Amino acid sequence: MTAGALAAPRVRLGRSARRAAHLLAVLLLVTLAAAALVDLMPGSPSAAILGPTATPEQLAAMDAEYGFDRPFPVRYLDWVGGLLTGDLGRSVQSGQPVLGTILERLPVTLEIALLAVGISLLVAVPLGVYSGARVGGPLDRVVTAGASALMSIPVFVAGVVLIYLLALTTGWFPVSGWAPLSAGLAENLRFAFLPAVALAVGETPTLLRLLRGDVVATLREDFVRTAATRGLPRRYILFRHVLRPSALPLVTMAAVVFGRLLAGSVVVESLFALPGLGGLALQSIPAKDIPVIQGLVVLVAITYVVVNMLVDLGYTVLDPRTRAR
Amino acid sequence: MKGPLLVVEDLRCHIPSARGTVRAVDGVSLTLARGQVLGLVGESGCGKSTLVRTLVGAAPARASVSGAITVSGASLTDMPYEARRAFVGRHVGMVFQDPMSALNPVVPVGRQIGEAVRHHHGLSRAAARARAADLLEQVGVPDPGRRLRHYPHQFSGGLRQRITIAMALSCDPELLIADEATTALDVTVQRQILDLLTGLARDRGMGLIMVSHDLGVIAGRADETAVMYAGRIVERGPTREVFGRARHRYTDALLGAIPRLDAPPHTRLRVIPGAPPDLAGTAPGCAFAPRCPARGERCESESPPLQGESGGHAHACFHPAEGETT
Repeated sequence: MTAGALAAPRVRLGRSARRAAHLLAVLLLVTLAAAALVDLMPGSPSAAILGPTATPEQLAAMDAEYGFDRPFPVRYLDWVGGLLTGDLGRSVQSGQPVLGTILERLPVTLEIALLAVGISLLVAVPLGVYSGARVGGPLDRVVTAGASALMSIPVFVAGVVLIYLLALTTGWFPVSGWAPLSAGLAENLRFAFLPAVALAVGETPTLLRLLRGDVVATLREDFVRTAATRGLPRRYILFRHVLRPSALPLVTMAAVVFGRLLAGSVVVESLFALPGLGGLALQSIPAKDIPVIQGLVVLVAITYVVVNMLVDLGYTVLDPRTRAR
Repeated sequence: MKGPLLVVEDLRCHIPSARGTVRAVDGVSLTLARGQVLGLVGESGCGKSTLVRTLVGAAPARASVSGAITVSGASLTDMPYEARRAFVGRHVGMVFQDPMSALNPVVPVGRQIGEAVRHHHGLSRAAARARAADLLEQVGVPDPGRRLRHYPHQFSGGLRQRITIAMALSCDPELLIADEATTALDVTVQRQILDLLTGLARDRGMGLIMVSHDLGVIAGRADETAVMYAGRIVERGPTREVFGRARHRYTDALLGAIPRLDAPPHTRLRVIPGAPPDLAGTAPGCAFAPRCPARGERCESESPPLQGESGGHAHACFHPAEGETT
C-alpha cells in the first residue's frame, strides 16, 4: 500500500515528462528543417519566387519584406517566436496570413481523413474478426483475396472508378467539389463520401490483415477456451474477449494511417478538386511559397506527435495493464 | 434427482498428427454421483487433460471423438454443437491450471464472473454484479464489492485461481472439473484452494473431478480415484483402496515413487524406469508392459481389460500386485 501509493505519482510524472520531451524534440528538429528550406534553395529564395525577369530592386524589396537575407539563427528565432504567437507570416502568393489559410483548409482534409479511417475500420473490424475466427473458411478466403486485390489498386484508379460508377453513371454523388458543413451535414457528406471511400480502399486491407492476424493469435489464448467452455455465445466471445486484446496494433496502425492521410491526400484532393491541405501544398510548392510550405510542414509534424500521444492514451483505455497504478 | 450425475462410456479422442493418430483418450468409462469427489491421476501426457476437455466439448478441433457422455441424464454426445456448449456452460464448471491465462487481461473480473450467468439466466447487469460479488465472497476474496472492478493482473496467483473458481461456479453447476487447478500455485496456497474446492463441492452437493499428476493432492480428498495411463483408466476404486492396496503395477510403481520423509538421508529416490509411451504408437498389449517389472508374454500381445473386484475396486492388469504396499 505505502510503496505503491508513493510510487504512483512519480511514474505518471515520468511518463508525461517523457512524452513532453519527445514532443519538443520532434518540433525542434522539424522547425529547424523547415527554417533551413530557405538556405537549401539554389540561389536566393526571392530569385526563385520572382523568376529570372525580376529586377534587383524587386529582389531587395522581397528580401526585406520576408527577411530571406537575414542570417539563419535570427530568421529561425523570429519564425519560432511567430509560431508561438500564432503568426506564421504571409503567403507570398496571396498575401494572406499563412495560419488563416491553413486553418481554412484544415477542416476539409481533417474530415476526409477521419471519414476514411472510420470507413476503413467499419469494414476492417467485422471482416477481420470473422475471417480470423475461421481461418481458411469461405469468408476468410474471399476476404483475403479481396484484400490483396484492393491493396494493389492505386488511389487515383480507385477514385476514377468511384467517380465513374457512383457519380457519372448513377448520379448519386457529385463528381467533384466541396460543400462545407455550414451547407448542411447531408450535403457536406455527399461531397465527402467518395473521396473518403477512395482513400479507404487503399487503407482497409492493411488494417484488416493486421487485425485478422492478431485475432488468430488471441483465439489460441486460454481465456478464449475458458469462455467457450462456459457456453458464451460465439459473437459475444469474438467481440468481448477476442477483439479488445487484438485491437492494440490496430489502433496504432489506424493512427498512423490517419496521420498519413492528413499530410498526404494530395492525389485524392486534386482528383476531387477539394479545397484541402493537399491542394494547398500542390499550389505552394511549385510557386515556392516558402511561408506556406513551412507552415504545412510544422502542422504535419504537430499532427503526428499529437496523434501518437492520443494513441498512448488509447492504449491505457484498451489495456489496463499499461495504466500507471 | 435419481441416477448418477455423470456417465461416460467408452470415450475415445483420437487426434491425427504427423506421426500418426495420437490416442489421447482410448476407451474411458466412468461414473460419478452427485456430491462425490473423483480424483484422476496420471503422469504428464497420459491423456487426463484431453479426457476432461473432451468431456466439456473442448477437444481439439481435428480430433475424432466417439463414445457417450451423459450429464444429469442428458446425452451430451447427441446434442448439436451449440446446444451442447450452452448445456455444458450451464451445468459444468471448469477450473484450469493457469489462473493468469484463463482470465482475460483486459476485462474486469466482475464482468468475467457475471457474464455467463447473464447470458444463461438472463440476469440484469446489476443482478449479475451482485451475484459476482457474492461468488467472490464465497471463494474467499476479501473486499469483493471493490474488487469486481479490478483486472486480473491486480490479483495474486492464489486470488486469481479463486476468481476462476468463482467464474466456474457462477451458473451453479452440478459438476465441477478442476484440471491441475493448483499446479501453478505454491504449496500453502495449493492447500487452501484444494480445501476450498472440496468444501464447495460438499456444501453445494456438486460432483467434483480433480485432475492432478500429484498423488498427494488426491489422497485424503477424493472419494474415488482413477489412475490413467496411456489414454486408459488402468485402475479405479475407493481412494483408500487404490492407495492402500494398489493392484495395477503402474499404480504400485507410482506410489513407490513418492519420496518419503522417514527414509534415511541419501536414499535414492525410486523412479519408474523408462518414459511414458508415445500415444501415437499402435503396439498391441498393455501400454505399461515395457516399463513393468512383472510383465509376462501375454502382456505384450493382449491389452488387459479393466476388471472389477469386490467393493468397486477395478484394475487392468494380468499380473496384479498383491496389494500390500505401504
